[in-house]
Amino acid sequence: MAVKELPVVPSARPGTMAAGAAMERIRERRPVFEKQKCNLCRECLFYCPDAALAVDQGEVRVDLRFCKGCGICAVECPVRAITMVPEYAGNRGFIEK
Amino acid sequence: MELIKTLAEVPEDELFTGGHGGCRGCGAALAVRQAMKVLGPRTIINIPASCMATIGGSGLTTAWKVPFYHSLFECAPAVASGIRAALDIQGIKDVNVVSWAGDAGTADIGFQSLTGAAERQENIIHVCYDNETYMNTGGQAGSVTPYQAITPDTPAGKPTPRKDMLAIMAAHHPPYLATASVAYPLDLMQKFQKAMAIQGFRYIHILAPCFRGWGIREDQTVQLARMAVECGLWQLYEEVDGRRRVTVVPERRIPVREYLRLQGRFKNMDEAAIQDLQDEVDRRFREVQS
Repeated sequence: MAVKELPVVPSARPGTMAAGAAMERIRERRPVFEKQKCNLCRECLFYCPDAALAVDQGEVRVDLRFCKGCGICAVECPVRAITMVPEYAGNRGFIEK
Repeated sequence: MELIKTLAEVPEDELFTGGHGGCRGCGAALAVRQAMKVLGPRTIINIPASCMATIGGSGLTTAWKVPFYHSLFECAPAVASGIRAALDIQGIKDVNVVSWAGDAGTADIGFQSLTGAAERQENIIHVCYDNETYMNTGGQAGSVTPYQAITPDTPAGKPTPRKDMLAIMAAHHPPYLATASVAYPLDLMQKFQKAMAIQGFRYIHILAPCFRGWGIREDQTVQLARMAVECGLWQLYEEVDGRRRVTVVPERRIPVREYLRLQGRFKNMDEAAIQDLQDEVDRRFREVQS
């Protein structure tokens, strides 16, 4: 069989994991930014393993579809503008939307 | 070539997207994200068995936006050599071919194909993301696991020291060789930029902590990567045609004890062993920095 006649192996479309992301399933806490303290140094953007942070219209925004709540951003922020708050409230553990 | 000077200049495109299957605070995913910012869309990436091969998805969905090939454990640099040969024969020149392996795919299981590719001076970039254990299969000890580290198969601490992978790769005389750390993203991205501008076999070794294997909290990944540099155990330098240049001199030096005591895997290490390691680190620090 010539190489050109070999069947094409199907592969996933680029970046499809982003479309189905729902990290609220595993997140226990989420980052909250204090806009007044943030100086837009962008360090947190490069320390986020999950590409959850981006600068949008002059402030850092967190994409809660991607954030797993590791807390690296809160530890690494040089001006301590980020605090991690619990994702669940109440003794039954409801997700706060 | 214009090197990136500030974080604001870095492209915003995510070629390794969020929603991937890595743990919270994954050092490996962090290393890939930082590197892909500069490697760019004209990249073919090839990863052997490792965490990184699985967390980018498989089959039905993927977090990659560049062509990604999951090769067998022992042959990532050989597969990358083949990809380069296929591109060459088609006359395609502007593509980075990267084999991205963990410490096992580089220093142990993948070593024969790595040393072969380095010797043949294949035109590829080999990246080792080093979390110092076999984390994809449960954290077993490997040849770059540090002395006295507790792993499932060295429950009393590893009896032998870590293999010096950088010295082994330097002995192949590659045109570019560098160490990097996820705690210094600008330095890491500049090194990838320099590697991309050079032809031939290029080797970059990234320290990427794993909170599960190291016995730390998930938010300490970057902190521990930085402390490894500050204590002198992991020095950041590059070698262009064998000439070494230190790229990051830590702002403060800390004793190795501070770095080791934060990690659960070194809880069996006694003071005498720590002092021996400190002496070794000081000697090595002077040697590299001079």
